[in-house]
Amino acid sequence: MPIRVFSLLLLGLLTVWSGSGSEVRAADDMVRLGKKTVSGKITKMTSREVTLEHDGKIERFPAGLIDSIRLAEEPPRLTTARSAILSGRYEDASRNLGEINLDQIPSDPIRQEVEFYQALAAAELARRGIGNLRDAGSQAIDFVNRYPNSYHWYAANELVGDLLMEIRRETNALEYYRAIEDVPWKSLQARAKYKIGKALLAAGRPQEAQASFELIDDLGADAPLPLLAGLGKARCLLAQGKGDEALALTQKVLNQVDPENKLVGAEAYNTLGNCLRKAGRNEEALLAFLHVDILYFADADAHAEALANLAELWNQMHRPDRAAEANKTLQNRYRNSRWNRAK
Amino acid sequence: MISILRTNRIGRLLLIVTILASCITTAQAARAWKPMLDGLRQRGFYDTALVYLEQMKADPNAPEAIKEVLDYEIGITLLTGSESLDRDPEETLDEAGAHFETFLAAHPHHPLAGKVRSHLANILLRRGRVLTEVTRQSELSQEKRAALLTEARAYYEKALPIYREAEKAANAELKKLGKPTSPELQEQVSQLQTDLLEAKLMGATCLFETAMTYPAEDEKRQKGLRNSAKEFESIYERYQGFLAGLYARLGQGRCLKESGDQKRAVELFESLLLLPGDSPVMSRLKQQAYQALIETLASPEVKRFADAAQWYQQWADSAQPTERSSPEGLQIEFEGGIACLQAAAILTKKDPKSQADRKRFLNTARRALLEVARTPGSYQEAARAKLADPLLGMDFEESEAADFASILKQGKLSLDRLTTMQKRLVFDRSLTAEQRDALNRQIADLRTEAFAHLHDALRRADSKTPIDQLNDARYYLAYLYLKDEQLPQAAVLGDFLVTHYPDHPQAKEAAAVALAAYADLTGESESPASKEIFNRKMIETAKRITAQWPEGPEAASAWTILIRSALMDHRLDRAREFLAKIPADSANRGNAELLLGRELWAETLRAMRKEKAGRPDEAKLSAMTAEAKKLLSDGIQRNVDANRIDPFLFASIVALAQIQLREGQTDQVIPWLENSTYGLLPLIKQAHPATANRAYRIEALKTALRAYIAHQDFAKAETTMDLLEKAILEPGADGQKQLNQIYVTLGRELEKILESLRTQGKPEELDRVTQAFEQFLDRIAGRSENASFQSLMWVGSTFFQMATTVEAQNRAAPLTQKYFAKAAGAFEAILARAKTDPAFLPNPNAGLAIRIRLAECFRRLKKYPEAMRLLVEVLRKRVALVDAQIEAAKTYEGWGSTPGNERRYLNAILGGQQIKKKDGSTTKLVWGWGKLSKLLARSPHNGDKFHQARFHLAYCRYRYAMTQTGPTREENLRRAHQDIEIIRRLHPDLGGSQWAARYNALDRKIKASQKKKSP
Repeated sequence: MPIRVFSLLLLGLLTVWSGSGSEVRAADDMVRLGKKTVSGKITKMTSREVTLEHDGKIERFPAGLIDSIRLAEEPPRLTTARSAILSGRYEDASRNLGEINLDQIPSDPIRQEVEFYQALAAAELARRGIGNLRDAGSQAIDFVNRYPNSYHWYAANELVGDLLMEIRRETNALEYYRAIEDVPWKSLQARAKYKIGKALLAAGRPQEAQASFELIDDLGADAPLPLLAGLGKARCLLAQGKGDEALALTQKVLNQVDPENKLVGAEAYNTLGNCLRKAGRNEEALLAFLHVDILYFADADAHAEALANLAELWNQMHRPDRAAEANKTLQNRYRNSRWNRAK
Repeated sequence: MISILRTNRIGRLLLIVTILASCITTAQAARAWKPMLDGLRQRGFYDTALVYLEQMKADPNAPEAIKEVLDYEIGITLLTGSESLDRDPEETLDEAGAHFETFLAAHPHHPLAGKVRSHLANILLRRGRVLTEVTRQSELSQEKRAALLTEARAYYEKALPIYREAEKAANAELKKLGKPTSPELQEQVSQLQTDLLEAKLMGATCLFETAMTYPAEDEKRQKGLRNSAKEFESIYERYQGFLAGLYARLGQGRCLKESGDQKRAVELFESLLLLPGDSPVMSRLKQQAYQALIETLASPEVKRFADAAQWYQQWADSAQPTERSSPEGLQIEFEGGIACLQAAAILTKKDPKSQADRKRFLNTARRALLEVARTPGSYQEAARAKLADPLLGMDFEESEAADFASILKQGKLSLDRLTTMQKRLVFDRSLTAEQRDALNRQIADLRTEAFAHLHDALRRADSKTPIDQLNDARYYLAYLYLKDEQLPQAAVLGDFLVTHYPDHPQAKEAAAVALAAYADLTGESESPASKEIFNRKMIETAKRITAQWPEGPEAASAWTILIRSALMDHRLDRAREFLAKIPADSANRGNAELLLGRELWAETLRAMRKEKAGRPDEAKLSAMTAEAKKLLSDGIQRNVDANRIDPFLFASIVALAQIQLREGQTDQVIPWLENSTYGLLPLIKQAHPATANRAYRIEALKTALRAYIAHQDFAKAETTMDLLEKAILEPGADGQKQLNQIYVTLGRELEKILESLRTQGKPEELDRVTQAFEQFLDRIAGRSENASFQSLMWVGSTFFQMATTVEAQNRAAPLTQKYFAKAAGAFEAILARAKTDPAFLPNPNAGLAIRIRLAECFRRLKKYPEAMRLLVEVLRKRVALVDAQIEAAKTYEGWGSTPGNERRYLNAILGGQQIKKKDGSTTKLVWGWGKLSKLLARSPHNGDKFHQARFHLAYCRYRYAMTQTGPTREENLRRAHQDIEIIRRLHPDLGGSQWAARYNALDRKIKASQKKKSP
């Protein structure tokens, strides 16, 4: 399952699904893709495909396009935990999942479902400073190794890559992102290219990163990936000393960003802040990073990046009190973040 | 709604909405208090209204007519705000009652007394209703419910006779007054009719409420309902043209509904909704009619759910947002939602014909119940429960969304309370230090609380959160950031809202927040780069505001900022355009005029200082001056009227006074100096905050000094001079030097005034000012025992300057002599003081400089021996002092021109005052032009002095030659010519055009003399 890029979308869609719950028979498995929910019996599951039998028909769903699956026999706590995860309430999810006795779970698919969401919740909590990133990473790697046929397998690879990025092991992260590069679904391919670009950039290879970002346009990916790719390119240009070009590209993307898109908004203003800092325009950089702190703080990594920059900028502007406050938030909320230099 | 009001930070800039009460002076209060109070209450600012009333109570200057009714107004505020104020409603009603009682005890025959009695009855009625409301709680036992209803009934029964009495009293008064014969009587009659109607209506309401306290099956209930219906009907029949009549119809409908005649009740409610008119009062009535109608149609007895749903939809389509969020609105929303749900439930799912209706009813029900579930209030919990109805199938996520709304509401509540307390802290003068401390602690807690709620709300917002509510949260947070001086954060949020959501109801206020934040950031930034960046952002925001909302206070502030920006770019034309956009009655208009007026005046001064070739003509300069003067006068008047006495006004008055002084309108300047409210001198004497800027303070005193001199008010001029010296010699560096500079500048300025009067051809004015000035200088010099070094020096220098000016104009020689003598007197006074008190002089060299200047005076007065005595004193101390040597040579030269002293020309050439050196040899203390020219030739930077020496060398030879005859004469003429020829060879340009002209003229004289035969 895609985690960061589409989590908000999923959250919105879950409402529709839950809303139509009363129409569904209790014994059905339910597969949801976008606004469509199909109920029936899952007869086969691989990392690339889920087969569902319903109304006497067999239907195959590409794993990469499935938003979620609710299994007929799954324990209620798993349902609750899934909803909590999609609402970003990872502690609630973790608590509910922790109360499920895995020994009593009758089927392997349900066990996989529980373990995947456990790994996901542990990862998200670790990124917020609750728990350990390496432990969460081990859990996710374990899932990747044990369940190669899970429809979550690609999402689990992406999760491992994300966690490796957090501990600054970009080269290792690349291995996991590349595992999802050759999927047959363009949207997931595009996201893989984006993540690969980010890892390359973090590894100090901006030219290769730029090439990866540029491939996203060719894939014809849906919004917001092209915008994120544009911002990725701007960061690459900045890393190559082309500050003016980077700034112009960032401004161009900013003009196209939906003001309520938290993920792209955060990335756009962080990129803008970095461009302005590099140009010595610290006051404007401060305003850019404040956008993330006040308006676009939903993504942990982006918020942590903004806070780390704000702490430095406030100090440069002779406001040690504000700098301390930014640092405190960084420590409290994102203790394990790669942006937390005190860790 | 939050008003953002800050006024003064924008000395750097003015922005921010003003708190209603803050700008009201006592005089204005007499006119404005009632509309303001009503405005506060209508907006639900009951807390602020109470603070305002308490403030009026404590104000000894508040008019008596207002003080008299304060208890009444406090009572009304408490009564109407009892549900909204953040205090116990029961206690609030008690307090309201106590204020009404106080009012009645003090003014039993006041025209409002009848109304107050009715209000006391209203309190009883309200109390009864509170108890009745409690009985609706399902968990109450039958016994408890019955007991509470009995208690409620007692309140109603107590209220009823008061209403009846009020009705009787109003009737009697009306009969007594008869037909009104004057407008005053007409007004009284109208008031009495209103009181009468109110009393009747409330009496009938009391009957209804009393009836409803009995069980449904009890005959007393039916009888009571019949009676009240009859009374309502009678009121309606008689007063159906009045609003009260329509309310009576509503009451009648309710009685009918409760007594089982729902059909007739529905007809009555519908008839009210079919009435024309949508004024606020009619909308309020209709809102109640809608509620009653929907409730009746959806009742178990009627079960016309589809009709109820239709009426609900009609209401929802037409209701204003404020109506929808009011308690009545939420009740309609809830009952409408339930009606829709029931309408859907009775439609068969399988019937394809009714599918569309069913879906529509369910959607409407979901929307209505979600709205109620999101808003705290009596129906919130019930709505949440209803959302779980299987037909709606909503799960916890909707309640999450509702949580956003609840948290936002809490944040807003904290913010409103914070604002109210801050206002109280500012305006409630009766607060003790302890109370202030406590209030400050509460404010800090509320600030933390508001931040926490609003941040929490933003965290909880998701894709389902209504964007308007989310933006409300962002706006409140922006406002809170601004209040907490977190300026960049306030700027970011305000800017975000105005950029992305310009149609949001509070986008304009958000823009004002951004503007204020950028303005303050510009003001506070230390580095020029930061200043420039924030200034640019501020101008961008101002442009956006003026484009989006060209009118209103925010726009006026923005125009002011744009004026400032245009002025910084020297675009006076643009600034004029922007000024024209600010309405005359805007609070910003005054300061905008002052901004432009001051800049225009500065521009005029710059133009006046230009070389003649680049200077605008007199007509243009006069027009510029006139425009500056008009703008300053208008701006000052507006700010004075608004009692806005601040540094900006102070500096503007100084500028206007300077213009008037330049124009010789001294009479008009004096009020600017002396007015007890805004006069420059009283403000300085009071150390008013408006005079905080030292530079403007000194400028004001200089202006005052000039004005008093011109006005020949010497006593005040002297006092002002003392103030000026005191201001300048405040502890700090370089006071003495600054004072000297000021006096010199003042002397020059006064000279300019005199010059200006001369060129304007105003001889009488010129003489008057000159004479006045001379007398003033005499007075300063005359108090030499008390006069400072600076003032005496100034007197001496100014007289000296006046003498040289008069001399240059070839005016009367006696006048020149008089001024030189006065100058000498001042310099002598300094030397006399220094003799007894060496510390009188600011430094040891000052004594030498003064002696040289005194010697020059003596020379001009032809007192050559006295002059030489002084110069010898100087040269004995510092023989190489070039200025002293030049003055000594000039003295010999002048001396030589007097009969019998022609040999002094030789002293002027060769030097004099022989003295013995330590080695026994002799030397001349005074060098003369010959030695001076040789020594000065070695220092290139003394070029002018060198030519002065060379010219005078030749000139003295010529003058001496002309006193001689025969070969001596010829020899000296030859040498004089030779002196010039040498210079011509060494310096072909003869030291520039000025010196060349003099050399050539002298040479022509020499040659002419050589041609003539020697006598």
